[in-house]
Amino acid sequence: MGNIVVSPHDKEGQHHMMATPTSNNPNGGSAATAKNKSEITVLLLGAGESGKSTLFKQVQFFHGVGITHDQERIELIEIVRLNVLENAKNLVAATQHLNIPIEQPENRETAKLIINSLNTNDLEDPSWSKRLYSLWKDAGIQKAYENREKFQLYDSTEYLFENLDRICSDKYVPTVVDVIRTRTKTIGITDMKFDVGDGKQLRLVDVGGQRNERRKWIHFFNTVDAVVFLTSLSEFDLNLYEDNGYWRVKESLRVFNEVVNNALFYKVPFVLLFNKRDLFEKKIATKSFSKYFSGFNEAEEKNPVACIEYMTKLFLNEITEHPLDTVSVKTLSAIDHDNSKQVFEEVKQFIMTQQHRE
Amino acid sequence: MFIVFGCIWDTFVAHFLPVFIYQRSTSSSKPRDSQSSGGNSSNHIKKCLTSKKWNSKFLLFNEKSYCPEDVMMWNAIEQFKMIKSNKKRVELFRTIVKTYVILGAPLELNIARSTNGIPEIIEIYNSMNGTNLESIISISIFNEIQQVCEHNMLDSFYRFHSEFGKELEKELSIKMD
Repeated sequence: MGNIVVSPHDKEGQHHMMATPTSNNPNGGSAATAKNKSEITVLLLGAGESGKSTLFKQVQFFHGVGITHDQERIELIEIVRLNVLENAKNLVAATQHLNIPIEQPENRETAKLIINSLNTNDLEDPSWSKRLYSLWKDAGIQKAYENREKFQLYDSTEYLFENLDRICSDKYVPTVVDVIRTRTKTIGITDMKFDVGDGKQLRLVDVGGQRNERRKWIHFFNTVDAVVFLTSLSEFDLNLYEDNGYWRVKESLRVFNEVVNNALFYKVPFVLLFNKRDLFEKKIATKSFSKYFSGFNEAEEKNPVACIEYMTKLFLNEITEHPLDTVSVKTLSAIDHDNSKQVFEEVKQFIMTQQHRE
Repeated sequence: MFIVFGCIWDTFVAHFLPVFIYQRSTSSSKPRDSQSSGGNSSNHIKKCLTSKKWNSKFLLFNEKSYCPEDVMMWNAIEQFKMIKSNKKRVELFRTIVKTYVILGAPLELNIARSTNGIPEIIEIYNSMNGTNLESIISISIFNEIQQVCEHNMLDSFYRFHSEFGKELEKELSIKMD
């Protein structure tokens, strides 16, 4: 892979907040003119926690930029430790909310400290590794964890608690895997560019997924050459972070519908990625999938392929405007480096092929 | 749908941004509440935000990445904490809630709504009406939200720090590692 240019905000293409989103963009035009352009803009879209930034970080990683050189940066340490604290706080709060007592008295003490005063600096002290791990293994906390669909908890929880001995040390340096597994809510819009041959650059744009963030997407709609829409397979039993009480699948379908049927995207290649396949397979082994989808055959609910086929139909049914032959559907485990690399390569090929067809 | 929201959002940004920049510039020389939260890089973000010059620079940087609302809210909360007059504090409370906190607000924050003191704030906000400005509102009512704003800024501060690392170290002694 050639030269990499990473620009958090592209100097030339700076879009000003005051600009009217509907105004004609001088760089505009979508796939119709794309094959003559030297830059291909690919938007990563999807609801909150669908894995857009995880894929973005993976792409940075296998292009040797970003986090690979920055692991010692204190912001990354802070982000990992904040994840630990937030996961711990959410679990403790859930035990209260779900009326599940924390069993061991010393763990109850730890829980109090977590809620009242513990901060990320404290985690430099290795003794916190033992205390937090003991809390994590408490029967009450584990029971709350089994019921995690009833409250908000990051996917990083188990991974981080199992790695406390490294994280709770003044020598801690996050690994690339730590950074990829850690939840960082994306606020606003960032991008990176890299060469894809033929004198062309691919510009990958990452966005925040929560409702307030989606209002910002419009700024990029005019210049898009391809859309990669992510949705989490494992969200079938979860509610929204920004609106607890709203089913995530319903939200994803709604957002997908709005994006895929948007007139600006009629002519651009569209990729639908069903992410978190790893978590999904683990989840359906113990939880009922058919409970959430009345049209799904219960006898098939332990078969991931059948479940994914069902989800695919559900999403493709939302497409009323976009030509189906320019839509590609794939599954992904974005936390898995090799899988991300392979899937992203396929996505890239699909987009390039579609553009040549134009 | 997106276009309509985009227009509304832009319009409000255009209106509120100058107001809050003005508010900040009139208040930034006064002492700040230095309640400690989080680790070193939270302190770095605070250091950056409490410097008038770097606050503006960081805000501009965030605007270009479409995420000015956390810095603007942080500044508005600083302003809120310094108001002495109860009446004015109530007014600013309403403006802040209307601009940043309620669902669909023009500069709605990306924040979990069941915690961070938000249910209480919304309850007070909803119980107010135009004539009732006599409520007593605690000066610390937005503290939890302010902390979330700092956390929300970590990602963009990381990139800001990459770009202005040398200057930040020289002027504010903010190191990379």
